[in-house]
Amino acid sequence: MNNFYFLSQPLLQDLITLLIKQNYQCIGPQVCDSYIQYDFLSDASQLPWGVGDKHAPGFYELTSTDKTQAFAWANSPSSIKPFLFKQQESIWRVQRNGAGKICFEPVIEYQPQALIGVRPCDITAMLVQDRVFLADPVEPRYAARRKSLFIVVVNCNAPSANCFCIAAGYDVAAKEQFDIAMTEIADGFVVESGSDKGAVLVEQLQLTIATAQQIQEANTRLTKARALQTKQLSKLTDDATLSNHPHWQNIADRCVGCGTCTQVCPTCFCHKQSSQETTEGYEQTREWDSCFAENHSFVNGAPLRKDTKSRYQQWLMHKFVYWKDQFDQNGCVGCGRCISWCPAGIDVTEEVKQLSKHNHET
Amino acid sequence: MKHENTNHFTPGEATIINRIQESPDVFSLFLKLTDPKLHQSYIQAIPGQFVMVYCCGIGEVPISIADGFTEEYSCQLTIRAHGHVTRQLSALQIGESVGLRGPFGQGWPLQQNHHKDVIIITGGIGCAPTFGAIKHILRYRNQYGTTHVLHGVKHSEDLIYCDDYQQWNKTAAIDISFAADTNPLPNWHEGYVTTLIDQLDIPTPDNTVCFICGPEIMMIKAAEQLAQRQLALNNIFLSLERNMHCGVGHCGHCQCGSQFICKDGPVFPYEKICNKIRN
Repeated sequence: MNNFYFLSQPLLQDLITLLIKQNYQCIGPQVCDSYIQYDFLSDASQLPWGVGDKHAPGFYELTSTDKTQAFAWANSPSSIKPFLFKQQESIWRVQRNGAGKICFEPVIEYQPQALIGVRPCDITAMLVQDRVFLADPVEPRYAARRKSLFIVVVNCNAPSANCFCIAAGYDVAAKEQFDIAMTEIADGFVVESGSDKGAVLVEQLQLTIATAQQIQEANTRLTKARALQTKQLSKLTDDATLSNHPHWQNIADRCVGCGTCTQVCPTCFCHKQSSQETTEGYEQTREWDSCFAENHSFVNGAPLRKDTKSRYQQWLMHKFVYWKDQFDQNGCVGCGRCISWCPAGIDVTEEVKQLSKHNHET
Repeated sequence: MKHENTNHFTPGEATIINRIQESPDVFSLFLKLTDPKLHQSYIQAIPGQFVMVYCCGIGEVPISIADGFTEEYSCQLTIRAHGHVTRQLSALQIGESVGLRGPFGQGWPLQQNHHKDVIIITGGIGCAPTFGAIKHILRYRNQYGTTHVLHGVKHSEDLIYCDDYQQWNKTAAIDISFAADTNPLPNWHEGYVTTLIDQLDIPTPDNTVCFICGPEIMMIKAAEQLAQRQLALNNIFLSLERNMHCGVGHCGHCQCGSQFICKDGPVFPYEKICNKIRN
């Protein structure tokens, strides 16, 4: 798996066409209104050619850049999470039969999907979610979708000002769990396969071996990308000092409790279930929830977390402290989406930095 | 705890074999799962575990297993008609069906505490998750030491399992004391159940284990009092309650610190969660 190949720009269409022929539903990034969104992809021209993105706390804007580049941007608001862990879906249905008994039927709907242009941070996030949904008991819908995925990563040449995957312990280049990984260079992509399925596709596309110069160009771009990231991530220890830190109130004074951070975060997994009526009976619907939602902590007649301060604390502590105990790793992958999309411009790395300070000078 | 054939995600149909009105707002349902394999899997249920009960068209709620498997029924659930779903469950009759998922979670550590003295402290509907534990101790009486049960209610009219408590007290195999905030019966304490702890003789605290279930404030107070009586914090067990949707550690609602109440609990050694529930 150590060979690097070269995929010229015209062959990008062949890649997409081949995957569609193999009955994958192809999904890839496209410009939609004023942001980048992953949607059905059939044509390479639909990709965001010449599009860059500018991120800052509470700020996101698409920019115009080199038209020969389709991946000169950092990340889209939604990540690939909705393709594995759907925003809303039916999980089982129930009907009364003639004898008055009730019959339950699981609903496991999926189809093979090829995700083209996945960012490395989203692969990392997928592996984080794997530990949630593929541990015992295995969530059958997530497992079915996960198994039938074909993943084409495009490594990150243009991290944003909000990105901190390096500080989070990860990298601008994906190392595992992809079928194909590509790094965009001037006139195409340096490609490596990461699986048998990927190797087969490389062969079907009849890719040539990448030259030393092409590999060098790819490495140079990735090295430059790493150097662009400046944010740091401090460590937090769960103790009385942290629980009672006055900075929580400082954050609460700015946070509006909208929960947008939880919606754009590629690792957040909270979801709620409810019963919906159908024409034949009822179905149990699962949909994304948020720990900022008023009734998330509802028990014995009232929510346990009644205010923004306790809700923000729950979110941040889970992401950076409790997640480690639960799943042996941090819940944060450093994608920076929560920073870009927070209407109050809260930068989670700055908040973690303040909370890690033991003198209470903020 | 992994069971073959338990249904984690999709409910199985269970029929109401019997129904008892225990008190004005508390009722017991004796449920039998239709699928024989699912029914058999409840033989492994441990007192303190819970199930997700589905009321058709209304929703699901987590309910502790009050008592376990017999050939006639998969489990007994004792439920307080308090919220949206439980009020609808309370209207169901014998012969009607519900959905069941489970059993889930960690139960009372009975097998791990043979030959210890046992103190069981409960409040209100909190007696239900310990009902099966008391029955287990009585069934295997010589595996456990001196056993005390302290149970508190708001009003003596709220007492459930009256016949069982009366019968057990008669055997003298365990010692049961009651407390009521109002209208205590003769021999009952008037006030909080935690006051009864002070009157309790605990000759060997390092060989004593305690199971506590009830309102969280009461559980914390009881645990702290027992700690002062030299019980180790990892010999005091609480059954916690949180908002639950999935029951299997996926939906995120039931977390208390890093613990998922549904799969790491609901029974916890006090030492593990005291920092997160004591304010």
